[in-house]
Amino acid sequence: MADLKYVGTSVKRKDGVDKVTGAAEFIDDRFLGPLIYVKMKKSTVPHGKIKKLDTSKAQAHPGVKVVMTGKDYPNKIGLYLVDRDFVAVDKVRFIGEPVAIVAATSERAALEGVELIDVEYEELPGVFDPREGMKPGAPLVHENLEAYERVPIFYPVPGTNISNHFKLRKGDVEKGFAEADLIVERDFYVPQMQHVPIETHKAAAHWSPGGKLTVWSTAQSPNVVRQLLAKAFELPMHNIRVISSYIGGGFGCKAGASLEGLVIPVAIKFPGHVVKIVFNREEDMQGTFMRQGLYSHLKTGVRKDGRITALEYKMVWDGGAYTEYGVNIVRAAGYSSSGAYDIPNVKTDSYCVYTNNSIGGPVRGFGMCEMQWGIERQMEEIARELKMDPLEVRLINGMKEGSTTAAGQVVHHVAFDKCLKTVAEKIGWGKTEGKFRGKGISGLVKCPAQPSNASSSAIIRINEDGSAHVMIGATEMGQGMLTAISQIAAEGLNIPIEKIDIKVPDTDFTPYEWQSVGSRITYTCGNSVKSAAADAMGQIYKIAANLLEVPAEDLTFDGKMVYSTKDPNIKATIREVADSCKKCSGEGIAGPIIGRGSFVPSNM
Amino acid sequence: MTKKVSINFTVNGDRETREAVVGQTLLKFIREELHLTGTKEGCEIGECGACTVLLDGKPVNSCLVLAVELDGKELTTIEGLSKNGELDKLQQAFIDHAAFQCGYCTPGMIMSGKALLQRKPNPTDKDINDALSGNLCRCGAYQEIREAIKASAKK
Repeated sequence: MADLKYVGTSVKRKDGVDKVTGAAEFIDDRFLGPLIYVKMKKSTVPHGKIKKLDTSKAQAHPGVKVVMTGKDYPNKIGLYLVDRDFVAVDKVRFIGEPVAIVAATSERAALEGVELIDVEYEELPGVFDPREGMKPGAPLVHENLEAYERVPIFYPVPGTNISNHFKLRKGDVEKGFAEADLIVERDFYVPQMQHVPIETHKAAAHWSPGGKLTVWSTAQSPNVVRQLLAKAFELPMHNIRVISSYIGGGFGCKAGASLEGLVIPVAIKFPGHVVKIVFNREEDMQGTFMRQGLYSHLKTGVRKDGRITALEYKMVWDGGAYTEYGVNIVRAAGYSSSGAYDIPNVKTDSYCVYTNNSIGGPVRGFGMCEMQWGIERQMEEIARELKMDPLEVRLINGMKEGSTTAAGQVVHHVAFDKCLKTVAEKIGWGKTEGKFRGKGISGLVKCPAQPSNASSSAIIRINEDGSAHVMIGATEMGQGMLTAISQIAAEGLNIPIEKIDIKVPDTDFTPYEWQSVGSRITYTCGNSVKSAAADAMGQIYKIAANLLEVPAEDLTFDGKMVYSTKDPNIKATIREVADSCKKCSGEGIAGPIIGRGSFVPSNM
Repeated sequence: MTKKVSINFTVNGDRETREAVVGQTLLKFIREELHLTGTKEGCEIGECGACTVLLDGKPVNSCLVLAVELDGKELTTIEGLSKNGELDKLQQAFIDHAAFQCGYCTPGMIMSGKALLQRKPNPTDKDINDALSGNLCRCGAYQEIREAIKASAKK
């Protein structure tokens, strides 16, 4: 690799001064204008028919602009399975689900309005344990599952609560169990968990009479919000502007769309107003996404020498009341289901099950941690049964060069054994220290659930003085994206990081980014920035070649001057090149320099 | 319907007279009336510390204080720490030690840290842990926050 000046060095965070002075604008700091405050009337039962919903008193309350119910929203929303009404229609499916919203000129009036809504439910039997929920005859959370629009890689089972059944068969597990000396069968459980970012979910919408919708949101992935809203509200994308900001922690719960749609019909009704909704902590816990609960059942066949011959893995996921990302988490965990181990025979059934719990969704690891909790506990159990060192069992079965994953993919450049051995050595594996200290080793494989065409793009505008604006659609939620991307841009443009300005996304101005999830931004967005920088540099050399009348190949750039490598006296300042370059005769050569780059991972 | 009272106070060194809505929290007053949005809302129940400000030099969760209680007091928010474009040395230490990730808890952390340093110029690890026990960081920058406060104390 060529010598790098900026990448790989320790630099001060790009967002540093903003964040220590209180100047960093998070989304709630940007809601300006005549405000309308929106509060929700929330379901107090986990599963029930809405028998009565009387909003007349709330509607008549001073300060209340409008009360809206589910019927005021034209369509359902959903990323992979379109199953969710913005506001409940006819029935509720979890505690905290909105049944009506109140929009008022003050927060207090909105809250008072909420109290004046009269709602009665006919409680229905609920589903709280997905193992019960997937059984025939269980109360149905969604009666019309088969009618829902879905992406065809997901397999709901109509007439049940199963929103996706992912099946995997590798080799022949029965043959594998027959070859085993020992069968180990265990159950493991991971409960639903909440991300708890310190900043709760917040959004606002503004409608201009010309038909332009602006949405401010704590969204991790503004382009996804735009896509989902375009569909749900039947608007062309160029008329939806989604503005993200610094995000006060995401961890997955701010991926996808959650509360943005709630305020849009109100915004459309009151053009020119900024209609905002801010979730309080309780609403954030109940009404956004949860790490899905998982009941795992593993049956493993193993020989006396520690080699695993077969694995049968049944995963039953608590998908909550609506699926959002859930069906895909279940799928990803399913195709990764032998973890970091090479197991010849694998049979996996991974079920996403609707329950009357909070909505399941993505959180750090996208199903990998939950799924591998079962695998790694099982490795410990196998070691215990065989009276072997758990490290040894992992080394025997761990992936090696040419091993195959559960999905049959051949893997290369594997250093799993090396990793395990290094960790074992560093933590003094097997050695007692004279004090009580728990030690453990576990493997992990991460198979992202990103589509093969998950892409990124970047625009770099070179200013007249050679400084640059980097425009990308990735979000900064603490991971340091702004800094890492600036380093990559600095490297590509050969200018210091201080000469680079970088923005958080605004879909009207920043180019497309698939999503800021799955630890992908430095790689995919970084590569798009790298190619945008190369594109800009190509233009700089081409313009300079014309100006200096030398071949572009002979030119180099030191951050200030473009000069000929053959004769350093043939040179031009970056300002001469970048400021709409003209020859000494006065003839204009070129306009402003705008580099563009896009990237999609290859061989996927 | 909403009753207002007049209050006199000092905010970040400036004397002010304003109307405060009875029942409004100091947090809402700071953000919505004074437009000082550096102070963050995280839980509104005094659990997370994101809204920490100094009242007469003492750290408080501004979500648990009423705006009317500001009358006759001196308020310092995160915006009041840097003077004439110069960062406070604790702010600089937070940057130098990468003591934040998403930055949402940072104003509260810095205010709690500042109050501690004013009270104890050379705090021990335990002093720092105690003083910041009411400030939550979900990203997990605690180690760096402690280092930043210690480094700032030495300067």
